[in-house]
Amino acid sequence: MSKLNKILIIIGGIVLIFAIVVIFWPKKEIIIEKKVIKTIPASVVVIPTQDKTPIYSTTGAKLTILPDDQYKLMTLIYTLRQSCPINNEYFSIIYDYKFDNFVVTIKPENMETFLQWKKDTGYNEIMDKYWVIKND
Amino acid sequence: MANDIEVRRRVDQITWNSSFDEINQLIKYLDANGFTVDDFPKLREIVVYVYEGGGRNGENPGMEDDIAKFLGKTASKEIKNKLTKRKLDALVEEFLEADIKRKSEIADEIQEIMDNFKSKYKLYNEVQQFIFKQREIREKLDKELSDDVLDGEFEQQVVAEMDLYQKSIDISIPTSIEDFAEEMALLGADEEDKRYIKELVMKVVNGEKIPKGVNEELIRLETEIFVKKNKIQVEQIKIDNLNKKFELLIENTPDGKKDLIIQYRDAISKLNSANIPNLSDASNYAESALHDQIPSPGKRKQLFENVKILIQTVYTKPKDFNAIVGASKNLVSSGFDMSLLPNISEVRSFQELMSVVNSDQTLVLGLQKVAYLKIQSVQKIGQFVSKFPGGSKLVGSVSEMIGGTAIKEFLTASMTVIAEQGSVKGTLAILNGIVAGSTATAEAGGSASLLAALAPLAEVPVIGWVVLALAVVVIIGGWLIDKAIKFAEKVGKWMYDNMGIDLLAVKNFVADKLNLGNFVGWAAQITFNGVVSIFGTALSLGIGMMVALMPLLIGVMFIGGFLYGAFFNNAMISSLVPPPPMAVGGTCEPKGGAEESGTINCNQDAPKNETGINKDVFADTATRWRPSGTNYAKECFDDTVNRALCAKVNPQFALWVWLHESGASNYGLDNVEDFGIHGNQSVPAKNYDLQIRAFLNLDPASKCIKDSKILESSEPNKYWLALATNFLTGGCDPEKGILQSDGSMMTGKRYLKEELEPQWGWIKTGSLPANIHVPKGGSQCDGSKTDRPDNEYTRPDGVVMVCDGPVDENGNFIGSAGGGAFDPTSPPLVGEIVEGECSVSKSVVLTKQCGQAWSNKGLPGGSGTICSAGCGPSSVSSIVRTKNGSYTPDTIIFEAGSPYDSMDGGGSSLGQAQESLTKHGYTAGNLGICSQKDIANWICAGKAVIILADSYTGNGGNYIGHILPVVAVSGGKLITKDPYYSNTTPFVTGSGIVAGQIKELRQCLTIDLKSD
Repeated sequence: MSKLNKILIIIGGIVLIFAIVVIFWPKKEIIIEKKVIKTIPASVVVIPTQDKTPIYSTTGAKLTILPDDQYKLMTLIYTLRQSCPINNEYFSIIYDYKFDNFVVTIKPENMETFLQWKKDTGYNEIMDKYWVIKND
Repeated sequence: MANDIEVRRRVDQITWNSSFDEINQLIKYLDANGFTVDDFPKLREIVVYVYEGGGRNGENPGMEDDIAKFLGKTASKEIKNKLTKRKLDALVEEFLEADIKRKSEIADEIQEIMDNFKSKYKLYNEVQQFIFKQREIREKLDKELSDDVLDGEFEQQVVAEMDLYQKSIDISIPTSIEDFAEEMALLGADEEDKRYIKELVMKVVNGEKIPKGVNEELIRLETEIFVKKNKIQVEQIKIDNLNKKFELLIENTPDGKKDLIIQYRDAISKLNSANIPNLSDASNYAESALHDQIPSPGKRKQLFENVKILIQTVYTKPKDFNAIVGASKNLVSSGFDMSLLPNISEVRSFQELMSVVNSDQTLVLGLQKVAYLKIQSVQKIGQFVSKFPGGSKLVGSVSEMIGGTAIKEFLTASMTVIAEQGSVKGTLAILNGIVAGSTATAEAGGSASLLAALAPLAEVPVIGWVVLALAVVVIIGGWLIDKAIKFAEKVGKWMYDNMGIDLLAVKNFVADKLNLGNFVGWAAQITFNGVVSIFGTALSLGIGMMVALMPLLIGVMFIGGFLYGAFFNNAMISSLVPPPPMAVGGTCEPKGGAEESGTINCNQDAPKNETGINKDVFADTATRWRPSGTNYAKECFDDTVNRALCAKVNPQFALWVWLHESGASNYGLDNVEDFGIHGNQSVPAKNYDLQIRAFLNLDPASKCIKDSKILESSEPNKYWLALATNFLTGGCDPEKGILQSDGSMMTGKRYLKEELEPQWGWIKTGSLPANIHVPKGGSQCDGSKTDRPDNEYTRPDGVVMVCDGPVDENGNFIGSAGGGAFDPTSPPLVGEIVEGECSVSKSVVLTKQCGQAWSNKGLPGGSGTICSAGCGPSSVSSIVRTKNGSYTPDTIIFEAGSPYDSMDGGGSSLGQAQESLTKHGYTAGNLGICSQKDIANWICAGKAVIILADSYTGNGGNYIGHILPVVAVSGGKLITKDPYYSNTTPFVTGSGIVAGQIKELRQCLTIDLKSD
């Protein structure tokens, strides 16, 4: 074995040991403090199938078949509108018939609870333009 | 079995984009429920389209088989033949590629197809084409294949088919009705079938109704084809039949009036023998076009007869027509009871025509004369001009105005006009249209169509000579154009060949490179040359070309201007008559279709009256009196009593006669006459309505009470003896015998003693009263609206009439004429304010779809009217009219860019309303579901809400889809401005369902009433 080879073996061994040390060196546990979101009981709104059966009319009425996404949106809005006014300890919602939007009165610290509720119910699919947020 | 609404709902689901599977499913569904595709014209079109197109998406899972089965049932010959033709073509195609064994199978299949048609000549064309193709195949095979490939079996098959072909061409087309009937009768399996087929043929020939059925339909189609080819003979047969219908009447008429009746009959024959154009195709076209607009087949038939006799009128010499009118007047002025005339369509139409004449004889005779001369002049000019080369092409559309392709539009539009305006006003309007080219009723859809149909004809009387001149100009002009172009081409070619200059480069580039054709190419060349000339570049070349083409330019401008002025500019020709009044409203007809004999037509909802006669006892008596068959004693009892009281006739007498004569309309008995009215052809048997009407007009005793034979009789009860004698015999001799159906003789005296007196107590105990008269009683004698929706009323005789729009209790249309075309300067309208807590009603004008000037306008899609299907645009109009009063529903539909531009009788959606309102500057909200609470809140927020709802049509629980605006909240209720129903409180409140109230909300559309 030549001198050069020996040197290389030693260097390789050192590098290997260094690598093993780095890999298996005990790590400091990182503790992430989970933020607790207060939630309110909610269930997902069930969207009934759109009734596409043509209607029989003798005065000239036809049913407009809405695109599926439009139908889903309108049904969500209708369902929430029928639930209004909503009042709980975190926020309140009313429907403004003049501007056709939901007015949410809420404190900033409860915003996440509201968003979580929207997500849990499926109302998060109602676009932002239909919501007006007011600070309580 | 599904109900009609469900069936209709399923049918409406099929669209032009529906798949074969969907169509097949529907066909099976219809079949299972006793319907055929022919019952739904639009569906039929779709089926034909899908079938002929081979499918939109290339899918074809067993479709042809189902269609074929269906077509076998509906017996649509046209489609059936196409199907057969396609099959034959397919078989021949397959034959080319098939091996010998398959060839034999194909031959068998073809034979089978042809065997399915017992009458070979029906397949003449198909057979002929097949044989021709087979000859080609044979020749090809002879050339390409060795002799041993064609085995003996195949050879025999070919020979057999050649024989078949020969036989098919040997079949002679029958030339007489009788021969044709005999030919058709061969289809029958036995003698009875054959007799039945002959009867059917003759009925079709006479234009009579035939029973529904596959075979009947086939026979009808075949007969119509024959009739079309043998028009003169068929017309003669009709005249003979007409004469036969008068025979009985003439025999029983005193000599003094006999001649007048014969003259009257001959007058009708004369009109019917006028040499008018063939209306078969036009009739079918009109039948299809007006199917939705005029749902009753009986009504359509009558309208067709009205127009047909009008066409016969304008094809009759004025001198003859004057004589015809004279014959009618002579009979009327003789005091003859016109109700005794045969109740046939020719007579009815003639009487209606005479009503038109009587409305203003001088005017009508004048119009007839001018119309006749006009049509004759058109034909003569046409014939003359046709002799010039190209002339026939020029005058074709004019000379065939009444008698060519345009007759379809003429007939359809004329039927619509008469439906809209009634026979008198409508006929005058059409005559006016023929004479002056103006119907002067532009608001009415039918009139507008008529005007369009008559447009070419309108120019002819004034510029008849112009037509001739025009022909010459066009012929010479055409020659000039041709020569000029050829000359220019020669010049261009010479310059290109000798000087290398391509004068026609532009033309060649546009025509050849851009592939736009020579005409466009020449136009481009001329334009280019003009520009070149103007700017002075290549002046000599440009001028050279312009000189060559100048005659062409001048010719084109001159002739084009002339043509435009003559045919498209509707010259203002002074009208000979003042315009008829603007049409408002529409027509009414008996609910459930035209009145027909054989089905009970009493008012089963007639008011009840207390007379002491027990309905159940009466019904039981009727059943025991005539045990076989089924009577209508219970169903029509109240109607009989009420009508009798209204007519001041003792109801017990009416009930007795009804019971005695027909067992209370027991239609199980042959030729039973409900109230014994006999020998009057206007009052057929098995027709309760017509029978009781005639009966209640009788006062038999009064005719004989002073007769010496009655006075001298030993019978003490002279009144009832007179009544019994006259009612039984029509005369006043109580001893005169009448032969009864059982062979016995009955006299008036015996009739009283053996039948009337002993049976009187069957109805109610007691003896005969002094006479049959009682004080007027009953209710709804003058018609009624009770429990009827806006567009229905109950006639005084109890018949429920359904109308095109809202009517009062006497059938008068409610509503005033509205605006016409859009007027941008028209002021806004103010809505009627509904008191309430929240209201936007001042911003919504009540706009009715029926009973208005626009109501009967046809829709752009070709079927339906605003009245029948315009709830959507009427709702939009009700909002937009507050901005501009002229935005009536017709304007909303027909304005440029309207979302209703292809709307038809199927109606429209809220999506279209949304689009239309947006177009007019309104902010329409999203379309979606909503609640009553939502609607109320929106209204209180200043919005109107147009809703799509299931609306009740009456208290029976039936409902339809309907579009209407909601405008106010008052007393906790929503208030509407319904375009159709008069009801304004749409939700059922507990006091019973009213027509127009809402069963279910389907969709809502909000409208912010502040428009841009």
